[in-house]
Amino acid sequence: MFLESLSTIFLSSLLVGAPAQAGAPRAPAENSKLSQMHRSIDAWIECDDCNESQQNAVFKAGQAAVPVLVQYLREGPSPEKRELVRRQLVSAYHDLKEYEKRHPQATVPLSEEEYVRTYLDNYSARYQIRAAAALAAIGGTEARSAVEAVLRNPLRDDVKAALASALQRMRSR
Amino acid sequence: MGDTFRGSRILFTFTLFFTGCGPAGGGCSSAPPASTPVLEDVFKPGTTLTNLGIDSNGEFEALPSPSVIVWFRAPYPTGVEVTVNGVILEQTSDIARQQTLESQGLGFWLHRSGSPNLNVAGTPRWDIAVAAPPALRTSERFTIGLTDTSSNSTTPRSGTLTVKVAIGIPDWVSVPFNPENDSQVVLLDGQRISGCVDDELWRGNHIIDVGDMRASGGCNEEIVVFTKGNAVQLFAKLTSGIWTDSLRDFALVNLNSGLLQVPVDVWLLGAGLQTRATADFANADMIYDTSRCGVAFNPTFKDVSGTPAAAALFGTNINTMQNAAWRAALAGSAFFTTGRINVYYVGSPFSGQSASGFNASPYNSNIIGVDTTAQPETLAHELGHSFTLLHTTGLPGFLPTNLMMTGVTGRNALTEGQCFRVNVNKTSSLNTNLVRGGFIRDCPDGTTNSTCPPLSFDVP
Repeated sequence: MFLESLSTIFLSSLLVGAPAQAGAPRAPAENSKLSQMHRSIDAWIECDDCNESQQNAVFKAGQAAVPVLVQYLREGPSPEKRELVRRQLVSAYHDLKEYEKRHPQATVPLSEEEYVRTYLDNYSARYQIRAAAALAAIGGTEARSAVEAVLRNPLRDDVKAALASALQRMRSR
Repeated sequence: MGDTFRGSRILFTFTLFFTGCGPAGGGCSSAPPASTPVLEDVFKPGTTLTNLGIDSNGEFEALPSPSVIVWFRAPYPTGVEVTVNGVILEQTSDIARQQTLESQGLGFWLHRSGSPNLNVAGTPRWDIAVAAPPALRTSERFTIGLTDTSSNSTTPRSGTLTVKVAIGIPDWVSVPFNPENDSQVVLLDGQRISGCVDDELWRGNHIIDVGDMRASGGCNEEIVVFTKGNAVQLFAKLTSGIWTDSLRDFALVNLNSGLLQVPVDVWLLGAGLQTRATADFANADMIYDTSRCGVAFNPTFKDVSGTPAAAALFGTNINTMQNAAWRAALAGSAFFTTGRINVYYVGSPFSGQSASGFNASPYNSNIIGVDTTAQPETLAHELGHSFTLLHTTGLPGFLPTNLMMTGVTGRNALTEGQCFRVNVNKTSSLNTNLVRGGFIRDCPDGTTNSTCPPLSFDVP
């Protein structure tokens, strides 16, 4: 588990540089700023109970944060992150089933597949919902179009409701 | 000049000792008058000499050992008689002879250096090793007698110096009923002969030899036992101490109690949430137990998904949940049980300030919310807040797998420093809800002192 968490950090660091590589070469200072922003977004999206400053750091990034947020809105976490979390869930499930053998009160009433799917779906939903919340706070044409487009896709009910709410906030600005 | 004099004098006395003659010259008949040896100190053997402590009974306390080392002062005796419990020991430095004596159940003694130390003021100091008969070397007390038997026309023998030694079992922590047999973690505060000790770490099963502990004096005295499958056991000095200055003290730690069962009311505000909630509690059980926090959760599920008033009262907006009025309304409603943790599984994501989980600490640690984007460890994380723990993100000494981290996945462990606080902090819901008894104190995450181990104190 520890190694996997180290992998999280490693993968995060790989992701941080990604947008900068897509276009023209960026100055080091600009890269650093983007990296910082990317870290802020990831930390905020992944947190269980964020503090206000984490949220504000993302919202205040403004339009610079929109491309990353749109990507998260459309696709959820990156394939690498999904795979990392999937492996963590599989490992945790096996640990739980072992624990359950000696502690029958600690029952996991799900198959491995159900367990992994449930929490992986939650993980993706968190990315989409928080990305939509941030886009609603930042606003702008690109943000609004992205939310509208994703809302046309089949979505989990709670994700759909959260995105609709975000779009409503954007329209009422 | 002085060095030259001292060197020649040492050589001189060395020779005299082994020829059995005193320093005044002229042969054995001129030995100084025998006088009762005077004790200087008693040590345990080893690469460096360590003083043995002396207890209120006047006994030097030693752990089981082949010998003790005695320093005494005497003039230049031409004969020294060493006894143990009145039986005269043979003097020999010959290892084969020592082995023979031991095989016969006898002890022996020897000079560790052939000459006395003259670099001390006053009467020369002699250095001998006394090996008591093997039967006395463990769990026994004995008395060493030292007598100057130099022949002298006026004083044929000196009086006898007696040295009382207790060689035996040291102090220990006894943990007889550990069902998990998992090499429990013992944290020890108290006083040793060297002074106060804080958070000494011991591992073991059943009987843990902790060496020679002393009466607490001014030191904090405490034993904390962390183990899987059982509540954290804490012994602190109350009206009487745990340890005395004597050996063979033991502290009995009874692990019969099992894990502390934390009752939790689980309000299911949406349809189909119980399966996930059950899995979340299983995960919380595993994390808190395998981290040796000593608690398990006993959830009672209350499906109020068909009661819109419940979901409406709890709501989904985290910003609203920061309000005292909201907390008061919830705590005064039919959807809250006083005196226990209440967890609300919400059928939608939280809005407002971003969160997948919520705990109303420090205002009301018995209110926890979990939304539809939660991870398996989100509930356990919020329970940590209910037990006073704060986030560990960015703190030195914490692994990414620590349950109280934020912004990472795959969290599955707490430190012993955190488990200690979960149990003893007076505002932990374990204590405010009277789930546990025993002493309480105030150990905020950032406080480390003699009564609060470091938050990051972790035993693999």
